[in-house]
Amino acid sequence: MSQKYKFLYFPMKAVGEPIRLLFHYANVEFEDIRVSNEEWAKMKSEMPWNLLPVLVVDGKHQLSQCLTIFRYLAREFGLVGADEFETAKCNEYIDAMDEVRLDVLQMFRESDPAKKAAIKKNVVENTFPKAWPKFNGILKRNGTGFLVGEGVTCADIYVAYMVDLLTGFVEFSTMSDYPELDDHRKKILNLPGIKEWIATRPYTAF
Amino acid sequence: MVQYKIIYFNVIGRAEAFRMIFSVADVSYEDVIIKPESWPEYKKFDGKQLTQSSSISRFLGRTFNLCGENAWESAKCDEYVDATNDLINEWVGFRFNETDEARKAERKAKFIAELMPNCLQKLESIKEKNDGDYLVGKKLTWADIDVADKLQTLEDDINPTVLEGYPNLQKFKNAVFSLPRIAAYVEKSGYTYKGLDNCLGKA
Repeated sequence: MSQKYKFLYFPMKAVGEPIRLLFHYANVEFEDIRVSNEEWAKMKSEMPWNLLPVLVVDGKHQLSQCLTIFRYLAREFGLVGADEFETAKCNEYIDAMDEVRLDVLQMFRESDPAKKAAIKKNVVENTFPKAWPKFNGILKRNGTGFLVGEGVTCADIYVAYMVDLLTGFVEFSTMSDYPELDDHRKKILNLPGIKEWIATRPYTAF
Repeated sequence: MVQYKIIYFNVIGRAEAFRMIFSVADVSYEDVIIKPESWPEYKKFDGKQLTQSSSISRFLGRTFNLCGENAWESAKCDEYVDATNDLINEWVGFRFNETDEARKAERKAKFIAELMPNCLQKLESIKEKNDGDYLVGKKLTWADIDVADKLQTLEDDINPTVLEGYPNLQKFKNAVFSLPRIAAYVEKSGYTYKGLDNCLGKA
């Protein structure tokens, strides 16, 4: 039987994994297609923006752009806020986290080792110490253990995943300075569906 | 009644899309222009705030029913805005943030030769496939305003001929800017991305 949802991405976590996490948390089946480099060379020109990830619905409707796909599925699966403003706050926190991700991404785009080390230093000494207190503060002020409202939203999944991934990349060892954010990360990554997936997913470096 | 405030610097930029969305919806708002030196004080401002410009535009789009007729159309709005954000972010990068002159020239050259044409070609094809004046479905969406604003940015700042060879995009941009409330906003506000070098740093 063919799946309603096909998700195409490279064999890595990176920006595709948050979408996979949504499927697993919502317990919605999907075809988790991992595109090899050879396949990509053939497919690339057929993709709407020549990029992955792409979501295909009912075998024919294509959606591109990782955050667009993430937001679309979050709505479909009821993982947005209780009203439009709360949903917009979810989007705001996702956008803010994505800016942190882009700083870290510069490390991978730089081949010169000295420049790469400088970027890493900036991430560890500036980017994270500016961003983590903000997210920590949001959690404290909201007071429910979640970023927005009273329960899990897509913002929790995106933020927890990225905190885990990005701090891992740069071996950032002082998350204990941000206790609410650190607890949040552990709690979200242990949610049913997500926990099992993390334990059994194919290993990838990124 | 809900009160809206746009808090921004005195420079044309990301807030233009919000102001145009408010204009189309015929909803009033307060423009709070802040000087760079007042920024530290404003950072402390509490209350229901929303930052991140695309999320703001998306929220306003939803609030004023300018987000497509169903979830899929809303997602298409997001997709086109996200894809063009990448392009504009690169423009912002070399135009304002790149300090190395050689690197700046290199990035600009790549932008003009490759990144911009690739994006415009895709948008041209998207517009061609969608009947009517707009990018998604049959009605105006926030994505139309956002993308038209970006096209205007490129035309004003890079080259007045950037849209040559993309007739559907030219027609689209004209259709958006001809909407009576947007045209009125443009006339009243003096909206333009020309002369950016002169207005930067103006407090």
